[in-house]
Amino acid sequence: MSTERTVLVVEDDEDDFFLTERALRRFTRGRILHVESGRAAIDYLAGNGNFADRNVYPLPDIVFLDLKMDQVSGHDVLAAVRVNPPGAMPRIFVLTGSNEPRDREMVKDSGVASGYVVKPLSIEHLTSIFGQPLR
Amino acid sequence: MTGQPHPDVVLIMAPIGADATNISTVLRRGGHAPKICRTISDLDTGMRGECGAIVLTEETLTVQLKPVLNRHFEAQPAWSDIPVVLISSVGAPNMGPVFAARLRGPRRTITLLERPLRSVTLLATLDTLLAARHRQYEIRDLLHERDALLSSLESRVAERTEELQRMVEEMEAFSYSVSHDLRSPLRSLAGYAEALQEDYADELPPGARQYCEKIVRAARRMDNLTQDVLAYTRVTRCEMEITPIDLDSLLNEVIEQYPILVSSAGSIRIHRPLGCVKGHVASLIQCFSNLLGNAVKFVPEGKTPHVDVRMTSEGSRRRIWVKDNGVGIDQADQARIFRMFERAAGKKVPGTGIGLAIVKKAVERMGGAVGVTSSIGHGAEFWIELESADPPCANVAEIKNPASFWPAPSMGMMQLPAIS
Repeated sequence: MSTERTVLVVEDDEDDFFLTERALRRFTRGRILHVESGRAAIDYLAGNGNFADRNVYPLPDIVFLDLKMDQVSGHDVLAAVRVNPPGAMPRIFVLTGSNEPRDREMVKDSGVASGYVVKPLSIEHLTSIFGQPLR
Repeated sequence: MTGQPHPDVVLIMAPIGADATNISTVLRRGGHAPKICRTISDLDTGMRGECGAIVLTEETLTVQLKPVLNRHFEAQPAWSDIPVVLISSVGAPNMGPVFAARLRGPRRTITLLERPLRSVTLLATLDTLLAARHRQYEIRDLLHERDALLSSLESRVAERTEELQRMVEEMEAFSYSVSHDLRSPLRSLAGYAEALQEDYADELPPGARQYCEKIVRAARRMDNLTQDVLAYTRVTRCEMEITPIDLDSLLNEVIEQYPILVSSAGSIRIHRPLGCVKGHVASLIQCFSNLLGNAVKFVPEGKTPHVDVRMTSEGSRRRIWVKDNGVGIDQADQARIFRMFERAAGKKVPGTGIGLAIVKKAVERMGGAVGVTSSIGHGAEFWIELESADPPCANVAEIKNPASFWPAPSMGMMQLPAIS
């Protein structure tokens, strides 16, 4: 079961998503879902519009959330989740290129994130989240 | 206040007979602007406005009038000293001098004129007093000018401050953008080169795999450089909240958090207790991880790194020594290595040449000092000296809340290993 956790990756950069998904595949056989904007992430987690169909868009166990995205940022997503938490709260990890203490503090202060990871997602990060790699 | 229409209004209060009318007539002829006050209330109102002088006859000096006069005298602005002419009564008993004496006090000019009074005397007296009053107006105007100048200076200072603030904000936005946008393509570069090595390992000839490794290493080096430049600007401009810090728990934290140090943890010996110092937690973590990182890095090939951390007291300060068994630093290079981009080691040992500059800048901003003693082949001993603090001081582990998964900012010259 623990090897089949559903992961949602919120990432607007194609290359970053490719590398993140590739790293994740060693740790989970579950679905890896991808949305490319903060707006879509908020809608997905709230079950708005098309996302209401949880068979197609299941609530994830784990979310990897980019911070710097156009229009709706990762910080905005955290704020929205705090105001309107989904039925089953996933563990949300911020996965960002930013190493700025200010971002770190803001994420911590949001109170809804389980961790802050500076890209790239490493074996050590993944092991501490998922446990040992598959195979 | 400036440019009042009638600055030379002369208030007259003379209740008996034709006194008021006569005085008023004389003054008007003399080119002044007299105003007769029938009641104390009239005088009170008149004095509220701008008046050049006051002419009173002795009979007006009643118990009711004096408090009104005193109140106005005391409420005068610093430049003002309103002149009063007191005209004595007709015949005996003449109490003029006595009344005049009673009215006198700080910042009040009382001129006593005795009857019989000639018009010329009255006019000459008022001319003199009003001339003096004009000097007071000039002082008032100068004071206003000074105030206006001061407030314009203040607003210019405020403008400049705002401008500087804006520049600092722009710089911060710039470094944020450097941190994010400049590093993003580097990450892709290293990531794809690694993916190439791993996913197509069987198809790549050994030479191609070697090139991939070189790409990864170059991208890492560039990434470390941008990280270090950012860390340097951060210790240069960040707000340094100085608190008492328990060095023993801080060193534990540093060693546990950084993989490079964990793998050599066995060789790092800490001679406890190190005690407490006054410093900025995040910057001090940065300093010690840089120093310890260097200490385990610069060992000759085939030699196991041995690092000793100890403390000595220097008066009210504590000096923390980090001693290694590395290659050592030539006397000639010892001052240079604390400057930006200066390195004593050749290209063989990777590094950005910023790590020690970060340490020096951070420690100096905490009010401390750094230094090194070393000779080639005999290792190096770096030290940081800071004001000591009295225990109990905050445990760093508590400050940093280790229960949650919050990897610390990555260090000057280290970074978390990538997927291999």
